[in-house]
Amino acid sequence: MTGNGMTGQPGQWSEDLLSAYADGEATAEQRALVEARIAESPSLRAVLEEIEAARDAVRALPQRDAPPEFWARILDGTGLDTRDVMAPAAADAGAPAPVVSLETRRASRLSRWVAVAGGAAAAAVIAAVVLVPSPKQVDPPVASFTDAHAVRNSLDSDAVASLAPLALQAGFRR
Amino acid sequence: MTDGVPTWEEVARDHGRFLYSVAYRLSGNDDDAQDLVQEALIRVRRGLERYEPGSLEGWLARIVTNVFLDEVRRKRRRPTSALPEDPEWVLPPSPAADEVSMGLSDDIQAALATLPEEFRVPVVLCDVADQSYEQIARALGVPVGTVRSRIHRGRRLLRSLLTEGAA
Repeated sequence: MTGNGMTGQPGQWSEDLLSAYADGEATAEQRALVEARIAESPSLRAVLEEIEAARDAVRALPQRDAPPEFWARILDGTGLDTRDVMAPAAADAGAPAPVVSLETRRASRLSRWVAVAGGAAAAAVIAAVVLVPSPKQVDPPVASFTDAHAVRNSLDSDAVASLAPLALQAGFRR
Repeated sequence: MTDGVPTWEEVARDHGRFLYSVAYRLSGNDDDAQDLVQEALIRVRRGLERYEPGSLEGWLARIVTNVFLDEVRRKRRRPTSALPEDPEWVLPPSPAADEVSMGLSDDIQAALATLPEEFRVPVVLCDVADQSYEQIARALGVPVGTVRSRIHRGRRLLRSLLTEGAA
């Protein structure tokens, strides 16, 4: 990354200091450097505003919920049900809240969730009522996959540098 | 929780949504996100014995990121689908079909999915997983300056994509 103002030695200017500045990750020396630069350069100030806008846009993305069926499968046998993991609003489809046994709800600390509705909630009921496990049992079905997946250490080297020339966005589905 | 070390159930219950959100923003679709979270939870289960209390979400973000990068590498080594004849195959994916329409969020997610992993991963770790540059550097095994540069370039690219999309 050269010729782009994107690299630099400590104490030297580089444009990527703008992101560090915006994120509160710049040192005092770097902050002073950035502030001096943007004070004299409207174009740099515009860049700062652009990257702040991009950052804020990503940060404003809503938290994503998995389908309740996914959590029901993952939590099978754990004593938890889908509503332990999902946001109440995620299953809000207008139907009445499901009936779930109090014992199961206490065991899995469900009391903080008040209303979950709709089709997603139906799956939650299935998970909570049908599966009725021991709260301390830890036997999720994911364990069945463990033999097929070796733990891979990705930290021996730069984990992403080799990925730079990405052209094709391939899905992971087998 | 014992000595600050959570049980697997506590991780799933209290941090499942966090894991899924990071996985979804990294992969760009629900199918892949589910695969990532499933594999990440397997690794969590194996790794809890060695977990040292600290930033649990940082640890989880690191795990799901490693799963994601492992999958990317695996797919590159052994692609499972033939390249389509359509020359437009290099175009970035459209927003996930199962993404509930949320207006601007769709555009942002689509732009994020378009970023090369080199930039997308640090941007997601910073702005979705709320990790510091230092934490991201440790997770990716690169210097902090590299993280800073990639985040900045990723954001500039993201901004450019969003601006183009709005034009």
